[in-house]
Amino acid sequence: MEFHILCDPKDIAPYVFVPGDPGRAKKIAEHFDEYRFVSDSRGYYVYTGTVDGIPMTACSTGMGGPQVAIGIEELGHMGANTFIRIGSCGTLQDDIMPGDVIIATGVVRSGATAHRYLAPNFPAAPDFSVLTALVDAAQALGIQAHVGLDWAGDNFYGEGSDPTLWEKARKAGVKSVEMEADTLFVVSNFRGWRAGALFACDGTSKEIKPDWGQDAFRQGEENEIRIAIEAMKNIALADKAKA
Amino acid sequence: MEFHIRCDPKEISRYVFVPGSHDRAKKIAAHFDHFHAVSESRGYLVYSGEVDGIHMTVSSTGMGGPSTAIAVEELGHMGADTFIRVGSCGTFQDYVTCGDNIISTGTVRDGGTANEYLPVIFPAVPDYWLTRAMVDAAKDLGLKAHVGLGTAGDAFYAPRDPSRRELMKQAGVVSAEMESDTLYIVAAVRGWRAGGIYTSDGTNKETKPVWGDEAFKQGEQEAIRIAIEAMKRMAQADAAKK
Repeated sequence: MEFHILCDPKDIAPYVFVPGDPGRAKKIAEHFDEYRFVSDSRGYYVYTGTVDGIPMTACSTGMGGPQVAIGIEELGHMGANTFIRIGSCGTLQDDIMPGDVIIATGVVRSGATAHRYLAPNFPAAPDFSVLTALVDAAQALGIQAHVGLDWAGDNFYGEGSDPTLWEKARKAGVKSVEMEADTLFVVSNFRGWRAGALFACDGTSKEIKPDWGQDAFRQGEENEIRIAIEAMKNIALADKAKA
Repeated sequence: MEFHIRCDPKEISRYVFVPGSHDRAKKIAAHFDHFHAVSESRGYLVYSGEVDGIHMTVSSTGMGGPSTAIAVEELGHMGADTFIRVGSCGTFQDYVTCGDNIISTGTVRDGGTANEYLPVIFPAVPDYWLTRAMVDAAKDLGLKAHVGLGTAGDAFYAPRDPSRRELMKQAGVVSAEMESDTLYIVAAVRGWRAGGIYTSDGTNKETKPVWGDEAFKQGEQEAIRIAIEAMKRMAQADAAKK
């Protein structure tokens, strides 16, 4: 058995959603056709079920690189090979509002965990087929999504070691700010897995998680879950067609 | 007038192909419906012409980050905002051989020039829509292309570290070339769109083997066709948005 995610490997699907929040893991599972609670250890809440007959798993990773790396490594040991992070984020851009969905095309590697795998000059980029499945699913569902760069770091409350870098990132078009996609993408590349990520924004470029944006954020969260499940379904179907 | 690319700004299109090689610049222009030589200065060979009525430009960049950054900055000053690098590359993967094309989805930043713009933690990734246009164009033209990551660095002849080659192979990195790190980062800083497609002129074991030259030339023609078709679609989508 793995060291931290304590469950029967047979309960883990190849197709796994990895939100940070345990609450969101359950919300994702509730969108499956049917699901069961698998395990709860070290903060990793695992649910597995099916969508159109395709087995899928949702596992919370907690916040930040270290827990994400441990989470996906152990899921990978148990047979997972395709990951979609369904996260929340802040934003650097004035045209992004609470509830907006952002699909990541690349991530600024401000977190340190992934540096233990591949040097920081290695691009934290999603698998192109997963990225394209997410973009196409959003379009098919008629949900507007931003498509662009993301920032992921290890620090929520600190000012950052170089505050000028935020301004450079904003000017370079970085849309979202969160804490896990850098690790997810780099570890996945290192292990030969596929990964993608999308986030629902819970703030604006001026405000962090304002109360007035809560309802819009919840709607955005619902939207990103629907996009991710539709994308994962299409990835699984394409895998099946190839096999 | 710009300091190095000495031409009338009106000659430069929004849509620019940026190969490293001067010869390839001319090969690309030869695929246009018609073209003319615009200028030649400091090694930047510039051609402009039309494809289906769309104004397009080709400018060689030379090899490496410094001359690439200068080229795209000056082309940008003159109105360019959409760049496709049509390049050559080596490979880390056994499944890639001479003449294979690779559409780039991100670049390991081994070069130094882009560090003067943004620190290395910033991802060198192409514009999604431009990349998507190339992937779709390849499919619609019936031309095979790999889609994946590459490295770009400043030193062609510097000693190569076998363990690092092995690491890049394990991490799924497909191509190795010398310009896309700079192109993507400068484009991000300036708010431009950039993408890359490279034809392999080697294998994981051999650098530019003579036996692969014919296949490379064939692949180069295919890369040019994919890039031009993708650029045409980008221009058409831009026109539809207006």
